[in-house]
Amino acid sequence: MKYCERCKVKIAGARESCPLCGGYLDHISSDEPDVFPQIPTIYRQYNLFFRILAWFSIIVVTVSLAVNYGFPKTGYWSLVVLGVACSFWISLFISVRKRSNLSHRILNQLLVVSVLVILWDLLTGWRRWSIDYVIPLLCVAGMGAMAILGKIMKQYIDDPVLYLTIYGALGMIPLIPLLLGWLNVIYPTLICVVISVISLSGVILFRGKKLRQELNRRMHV
Amino acid sequence: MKKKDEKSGANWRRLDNAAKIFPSNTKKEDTKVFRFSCELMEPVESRILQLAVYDTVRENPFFQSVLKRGVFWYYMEESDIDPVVRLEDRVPCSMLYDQSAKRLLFEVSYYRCRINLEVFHGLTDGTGALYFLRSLVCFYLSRKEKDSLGDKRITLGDNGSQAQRMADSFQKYYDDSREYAKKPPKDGKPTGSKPGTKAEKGLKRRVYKLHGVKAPEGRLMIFEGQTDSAKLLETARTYHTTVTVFLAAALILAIAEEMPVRKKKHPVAVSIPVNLRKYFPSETVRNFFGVVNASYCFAEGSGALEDVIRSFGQELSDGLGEEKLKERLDRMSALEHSVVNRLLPLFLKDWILRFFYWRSEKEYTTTLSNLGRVDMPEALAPFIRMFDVFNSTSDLQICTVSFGGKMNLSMTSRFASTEIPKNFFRILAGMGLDLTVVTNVLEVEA
Repeated sequence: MKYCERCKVKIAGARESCPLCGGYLDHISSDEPDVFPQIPTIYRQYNLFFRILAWFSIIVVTVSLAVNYGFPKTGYWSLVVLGVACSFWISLFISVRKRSNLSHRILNQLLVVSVLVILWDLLTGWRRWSIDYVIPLLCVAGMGAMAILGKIMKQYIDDPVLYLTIYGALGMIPLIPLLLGWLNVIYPTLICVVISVISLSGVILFRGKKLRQELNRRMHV
Repeated sequence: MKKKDEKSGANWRRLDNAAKIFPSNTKKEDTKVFRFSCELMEPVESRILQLAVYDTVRENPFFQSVLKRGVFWYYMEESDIDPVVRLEDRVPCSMLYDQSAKRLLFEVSYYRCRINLEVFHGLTDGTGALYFLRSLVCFYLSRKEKDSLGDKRITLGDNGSQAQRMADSFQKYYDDSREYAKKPPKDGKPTGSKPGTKAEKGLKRRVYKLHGVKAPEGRLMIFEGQTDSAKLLETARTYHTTVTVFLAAALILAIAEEMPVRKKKHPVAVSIPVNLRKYFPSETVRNFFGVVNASYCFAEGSGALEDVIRSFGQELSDGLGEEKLKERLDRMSALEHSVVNRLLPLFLKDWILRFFYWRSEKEYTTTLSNLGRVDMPEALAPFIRMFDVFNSTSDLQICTVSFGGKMNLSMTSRFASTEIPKNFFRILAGMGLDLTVVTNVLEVEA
């Protein structure tokens, strides 16, 4: 036990200086063990990878913009580079953000990629490859991922029943461009819608009660 | 630990009114976690502690919950995550609620002779957590000291049923007749959501807020002052006041010593949480507390201890009172029950609650939470040295609790500067109180 002459208080623990005023302590009796364990400060550098990646992207985009400016006759290829870099970073940001669980993040990722892909298609002449192939593929991939992960990696997936339902419902969205006649190629969308109906009916028939309970608690006001 | 039956679905519960503000406002700088510690006479045995945790959770299954996001509100769901006991290896009051991970909202750890219980404030308040810790200590000591205590299990001796302990008392006492709305707003009484603007309070100015360089890594600095509770009570009595007001006055003076002269026109406000169970009968271990803010302005008073005690004490007792507290309860609950608010999606509610919390933080400089005396069964008293409590904060706060004649005044601070803790303890020591200070602050290598 130590004593601080300035603060007029006893100080417990093995210290040389007063934690309140910083002054030297007088030893008055045997030292007692610390009450709090010493936790060393940790210098965290796990952001280093992303900072290097960000700098690399900036270098690539800036150099390509500069080179393209010097050779304008070759076309606007540097904008493609910029577009790819932006899409990559948006996707990465969505997947790394720590605000939600894995199921939610996969869903966000798929939504963001869908939007980016449609934008790409629109900006490159609207050849409809996004709604013909990519969107149905993403929906099927999402449903598949949820079904598989829900069985194998149970501890990472929260509420597989609910998310399978959500993905299944989203898988019905490609039906809209199909019925409105916007598509050039219809079989990917057909496959997607069929799988979606099978998933949804499977969930409702075999896990209907759990689904209702889960919806009840998620949607309570 | 028995696993919950997956097919039947886990039990779920809405958050109580006070808890609803915490998930939106939890961050690394203020984790909304508080810790209760019980220091025993002998080192803790982890195996027995683990069994005691299982016993306590079995009696209070509500504690074994995780927090989840719904479409409109957060809610709690009972979980089968194992409440594992750990040797203390992290900074006190680290994050417990994390949106990305499914984790329990409480944690039991131990270090030497101390059992620590850390709880996320969205789960329960001080009284609820203390109940859990007291039960835990009963179970632990009943097993460990079987030789001296015998086979009979020592219990806390309370009569509440499990249902009573899990009750949402805010819901029970909420009265939607809106009596408070019929009265004209009283001058200078801050409510939960209206800020203390000059226009509303007449000449009263903004409350003084603490600033300063934060501690390395944003760590929570802890300064515990252990003293004799009888002597403290006696000292408070010589000033004709309660221990709470006395300590608040000392804290206000400690802060004032660091205030620049030009800021002295801003009042120093102390927020005092109030246990509503004292006014509205309830056995709940969930949140059931209210808050009263009272302040002292150095530009308007002499600044002497007696004056601070008198003025602050008066403001505090004006704010305490069944009617006032009920009014606040009704006002806060009305926000929760309004149809418009209920239908807002959760992400909007998050922003709104963050805004309201930010505004409410402007109404006080610091917080003083006096949890009073801890009662334990007599047979166990010889094995317990003391109880301790402290809370995470984004600036500075004091929590106090007493047991067996010893009182622990625990100050937590995010600031690197130790001036306010130093001032506070010097003021008390200067009044003849014998203090022993314990801290987690690392000594700087010379």
